[in-house]
Amino acid sequence: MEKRVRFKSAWLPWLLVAPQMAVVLVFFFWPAGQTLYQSVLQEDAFGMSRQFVGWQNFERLWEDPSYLDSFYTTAIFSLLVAVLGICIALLLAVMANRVVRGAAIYKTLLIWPYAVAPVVAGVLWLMMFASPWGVVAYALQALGDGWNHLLSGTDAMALIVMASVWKQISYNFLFFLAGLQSVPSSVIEAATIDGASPWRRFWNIVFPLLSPTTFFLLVMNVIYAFFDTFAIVDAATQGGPGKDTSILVYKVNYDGFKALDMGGSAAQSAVLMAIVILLTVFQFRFVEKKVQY
Amino acid sequence: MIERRPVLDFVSHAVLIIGVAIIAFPVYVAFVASTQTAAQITGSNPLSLVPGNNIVSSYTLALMGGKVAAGGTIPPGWPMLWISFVVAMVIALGKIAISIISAFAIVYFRFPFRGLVFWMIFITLMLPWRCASARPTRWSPTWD
Repeated sequence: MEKRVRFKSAWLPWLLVAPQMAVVLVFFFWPAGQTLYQSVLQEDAFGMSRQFVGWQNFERLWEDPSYLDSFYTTAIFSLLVAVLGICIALLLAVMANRVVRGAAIYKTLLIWPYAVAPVVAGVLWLMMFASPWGVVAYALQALGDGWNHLLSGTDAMALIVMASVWKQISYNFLFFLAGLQSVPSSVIEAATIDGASPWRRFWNIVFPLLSPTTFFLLVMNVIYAFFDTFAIVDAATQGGPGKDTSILVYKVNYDGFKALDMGGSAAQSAVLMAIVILLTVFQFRFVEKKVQY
Repeated sequence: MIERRPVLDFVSHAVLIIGVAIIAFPVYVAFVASTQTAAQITGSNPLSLVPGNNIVSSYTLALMGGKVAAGGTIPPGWPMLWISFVVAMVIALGKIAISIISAFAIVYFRFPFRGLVFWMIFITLMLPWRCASARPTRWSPTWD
C-alpha cells in the first residue's frame, strides 16, 4: 500500500491516530492487561482479598479434565462450523454466480441472515428443535430418530453447529461471491474453448484462484466459532447436557461469572487470546504469502 | 455464462432454491409462531406451519407491552427499538469517523512506530472484545 503522494508532518499523523489509539488502549489493551494480571492472582468470590500465585492458575487448568474436555469440544465444534460453513457457502456462491435469471433475489435471500443477531439465531433454531412443539424434531422423530438435545450430547452439538453455520453462511457467501467475480473471465473462456468441462474448470481454475479467499474464511470462521458463538450456545443449550456443548468461551464466562473463579477464568481468557493471536499471525504472515495465485 | 448447459442451469436453480428454503425456514417458523396465541403454541405437537389469526395482538403486545396470558407483564418494545437504533447509529458513525482519520494517517504519512500502530489497531479486529474482557470487572460489595 505504498502511495506516491505523501505528506510530511511530524505531529499531524499522531493527532489523526490519537482517537483510535485512545479507544483501542482504553477499551482493549487495558482490559486485556487486567485479564493477564488477574490470571496470576487468586481472589475470593467477592474481590475482598487477592494473592499472587504465579502460574498456579494455568497449572490448575492443565490438570482439570473438564478444561481439556472443553478444548476437545471446541476443536470439534469449530472444525465442523468452519468446514460446513465454507463448503455450503462455496456451493451456493458458485451456483449464484452461474445463474442469470433471479440472481439478485437469490443473493438477497442468502445474505440477509447475516443481520440476525447470534442470540436470535440460537433461539430460532431452538424453536425448530425444542421437544414438545419443534417442527424438525417432530419430523425426525416420525422418521425414527429420537431427537432430544436435552439428553443427547451429539444432538445438542448438532443443534449449535447448525445454528452457527446458518448464521455464518451469509458472510462466507459474500466473500466467495466477491472472489468468484474477480476471477478473470478470459481464463475461463480460454479453458472452455479448449473443451474443459465446468467441473474441470472449477477445480483447475476457479478453486485455485479462490484459495486466498478460502484461507481467509477458514481463519475467520475458526475465530467466529471460537468466540462469537457464545450467544448461540447460551440461548440454545447453555453448555448442556452436562458439559457436552460447553465450548471454551462459554466455560470462561461460566467459571468467571457463575462459579466466581476469577483467576481460573482469567487464565482461560489468556489462553484464548494466545490462540487467536497465533491464528492471526498465521493467516497474515504465512498463508497470505504461501497461497498460490 | 459462456456456454449453454440446460441441465446445469436446472441443477443450479434447484440447489439455490433448496438453499434459500433452508435458510429462510427458521425465520418462517418464528413468524408463524408469532401469529399464534401462546396456548396454541404450547398445546401443539408439532407447531402448526400455517399462520394463525393472533398476529395483531402478538405484535401489539411486543411493541406496546401489556399483560400476557400467563399473568406476567412485559414492557413495551418500541422504546427499546428506538434506543437500539440511536445507539447503533452513534456507534457506527463514531467508529467510521475515528477509523477513517487513523487509516488516512497510516496510509499517507511516514512516522515512527507506524507498523506498531497498525498492528495494535488491527489485532483488535481479530481479537474479539469478549475475549479481552471475559472476566468480571471489579465491583465493591454493597450489602452493608
